[in-house]
Parts: sequence; C-alpha cells; structure tokens
Amino acid sequence: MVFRRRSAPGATGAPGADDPFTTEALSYVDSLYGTAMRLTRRPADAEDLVQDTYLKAFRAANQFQRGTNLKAWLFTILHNTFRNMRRHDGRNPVDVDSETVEQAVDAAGAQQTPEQLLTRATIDADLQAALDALPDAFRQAVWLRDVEEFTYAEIAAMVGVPIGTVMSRISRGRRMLFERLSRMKAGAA
Amino acid sequence: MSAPRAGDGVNECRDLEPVLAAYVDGEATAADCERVRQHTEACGTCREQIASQRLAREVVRARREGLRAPAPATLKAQCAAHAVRPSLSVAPGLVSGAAGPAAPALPRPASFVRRWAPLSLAATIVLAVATVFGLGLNDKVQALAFQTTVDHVTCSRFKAGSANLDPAAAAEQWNTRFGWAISVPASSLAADLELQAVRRCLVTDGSVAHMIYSWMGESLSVFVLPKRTLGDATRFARRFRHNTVMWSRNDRTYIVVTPRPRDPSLDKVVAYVQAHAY
Repeated sequence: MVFRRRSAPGATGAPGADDPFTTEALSYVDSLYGTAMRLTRRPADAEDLVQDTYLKAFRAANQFQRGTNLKAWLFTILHNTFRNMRRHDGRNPVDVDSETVEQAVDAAGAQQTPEQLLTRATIDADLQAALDALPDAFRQAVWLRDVEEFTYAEIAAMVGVPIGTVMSRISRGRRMLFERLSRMKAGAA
Repeated sequence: MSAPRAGDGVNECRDLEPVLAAYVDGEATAADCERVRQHTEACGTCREQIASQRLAREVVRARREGLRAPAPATLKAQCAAHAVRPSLSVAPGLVSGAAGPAAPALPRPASFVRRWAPLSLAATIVLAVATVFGLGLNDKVQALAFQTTVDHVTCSRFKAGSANLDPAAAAEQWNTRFGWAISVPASSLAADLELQAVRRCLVTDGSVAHMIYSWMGESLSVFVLPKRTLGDATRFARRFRHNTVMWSRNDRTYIVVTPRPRDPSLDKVVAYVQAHAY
C-alpha cells in the first residue's frame, strides 16, 4: 500500500472544519462515544476520552494515511488514550486473570434454550448490564466485533495484541455473555 | 488458522477456541471448518460452545442500536471545535512565559459558516477566534484571557451543574487522576457562589483544571494552570464581553472568567477565590 501524507496541512497539522477528513472523522462521534462508554462506564470519563481522541486526531491529521480506514484509526487513538488514562489510574485494562475467567465460564448457570435467551435479551438494559459485567478485555473484543463490526486484524491493531488473542477473547467473551444472560434469566424466573 | 493437528480432547478444545470465533462469524477457512466439524462430532462441549457463542453474537448484533449511546450534542460540538481549535492551544512556551503561538491558518470563512451552521455556538466561538487571531496576539495576558473565555463559554453553557458537589472530594479526585493538586473553593452563600463542576479543560492537552460556578445569576469559571506564568499581581483583561482576572501564586496560575461587569463584587469574589484556592 502506498502511504502519503495529506496535502497542505496547517502548521499545526489541524485539518480545519472544511476538510473532508474533519467531516468524516466527526461522523464517528457516536460510535466512539458508545465505545468509550463501554470502556469507562462513566459518561464524564467517556466524554473526556472522546474529546481527547479528537484533539489528538486533528493534531495528527497529517499522519493519517488516506485510503486507509479512518474509523479504525480513530478507534486506535481512542484505545491508546484509554490505556494511558488507565495506566495513570494504576489499572491495567487488559490484565485479565485467565484462571478467574475460566472459572467464571465453567460456573455456568442453568442452560436456556436459544429462544428463551433471545426473548429475555430483548431488554436492552439487561444486555447492557451483562456486557458491562464482562472483564474489560472481553467486553472490548465483543463490542468492537459485534457492535462496531471491525475485523479481527483491525481490533488486534487497536488493542495491541496478536490476532489470535483477539479471536480467543471474542470467543470467550461471547460465551461469558451467554452465561451471564442465562443467569439473569434464571434469576428473573 | 493453523493446520489441524492431533491431540487429546482438552488441548484440541483449547486450540479451537480462537477458531470458534471465526467459525461462528462465518469467516473460518475451509480447513478450519472441517476441523471444527470433525471435532464437534465427538465433543458435545464444543458443540454447546458454538451454539451459545452464536446466540450471544446474534443477540448483540440484533440489539446493536439499542446498545449504542448517542454522544451528547454538547460533546459533538466540543469535538467539532477541536477541528480548528488545536491551533488555539496554549503553546508550552506560553505557559512557561515565552512568546505566544503564531496565528494559525484559518479555514475559508464562507464555507466555514455554512458547514458549522448546525453548531451555532461552536461556530460563533470559532468565528470570534478567527477575528482575534486576525488582529494578532502579542500578549500572554490577552492570549490567556482569550483562550479561557472561549472555554468558559463552551463549557459553562453546555454543562449542566451538579448540585452538592463536594469541593474536597473533587480536589482529591483531581489530584489522584492527574497527579497535581488543586484546591477547589467551596460554594459560599456570602459570596453568592455555587460550585457546579470541576472539569479538565482540554485547551492545553488537559493540563488545566476548570472549576465552573454559578455566581450572582451568571456563570463564573476558575481555571488553574500547573505553571507559574504571571506575577503575583492580578492582571485584568476583557474578551468577548467577558471579564478576566488572572494571577500566579507559587507554581500555579489562576484565571477567573465571568460575563459580569468589573465592579466591586468582582473584586470580592476574586478575593474569595484567592482565599480558598491555595
């Protein structure tokens, strides 16, 4: 792939409000905010995270390679910014205790038929809660794949882990989500 | 995916874990599909895994729109403002006392107005910015007044206040999160001052604390920069029909911004802030 710098960036690299880059970048604000909400779980933090992302993106606009995926580029900035934010907080978003996760998966609740689960899961708030209860790395993988529809390779680049790890996390994340929804269903019955 | 290989059941299940994601997504290679098919003929656990993962996938995808939280209009406006506002940022040299930033290249006014029409407040701010930069900035007091007033208008008009905000907790949270201490002046009935929010101001890469107050029926901002860039004496500037009072103390710079007039009540509230901000 041929990479080239964008033409005529300003002295600061800012693209300006009239630039197609700006227009397209701003069209992803809902997606970025939704993802930031899943990452931070707090509206104020999510807003800060998205603002930081755009601030950095517009400043580094001349580093964006035209013809590549702008949405994926913005999500990469979002995740890097989130990692830095969490590092500052002394937490590590991808430090998952695999044994704990295995135990969580193994401790499956009562099994439900697909129809029962689907019916139950039509309540968005329940699904939201089940997603939010997943460990960070798994929630992130499932969200980026099933809500934002990124490819495994794009997610791997964003999150900074091998593609196989991304696929494992998606696999486990979906399984864990199923278990949580099953338990919620069992609890509500 | 890797080629199929022989192994005991548990290892094979573990090895198949990443493959199952692609299998459920319909993106597995033909070889991996065959591998999964052969394995699941004898492994009920993995058959169940596939069914549950497929269902979870379908549930999330079916409810995708309901899961998404649309960004608040205020956030959209603030993000849009960054498209031109990066050049407004206080340059490191400015904060440390050197010359201010050079005037940035500005977008063409006609198309600018058209594109920003839905974001009326942001558009107003940026057009005002263009005017100021056109006039040139040669004084850091004026530059700081200009920048903080823009942020005051942006944030205080968009941000709904949160009642009963604990100033000590907010200060502690700030210190924990950003690694440098601030003191947040509490609400005061005597000063008719009510604390509404403590936010990180993104004008300098997030290194400015922005406290938002309601004061005598208007908004009042107190900005704290983690650098000493002025003298101890208060300096005054007026920008965009807002009054700005600023000073440095120890290794911090404080800037008060309000649309209220410059009169003894402003002196009084500045004195209150000075008495409680260190």
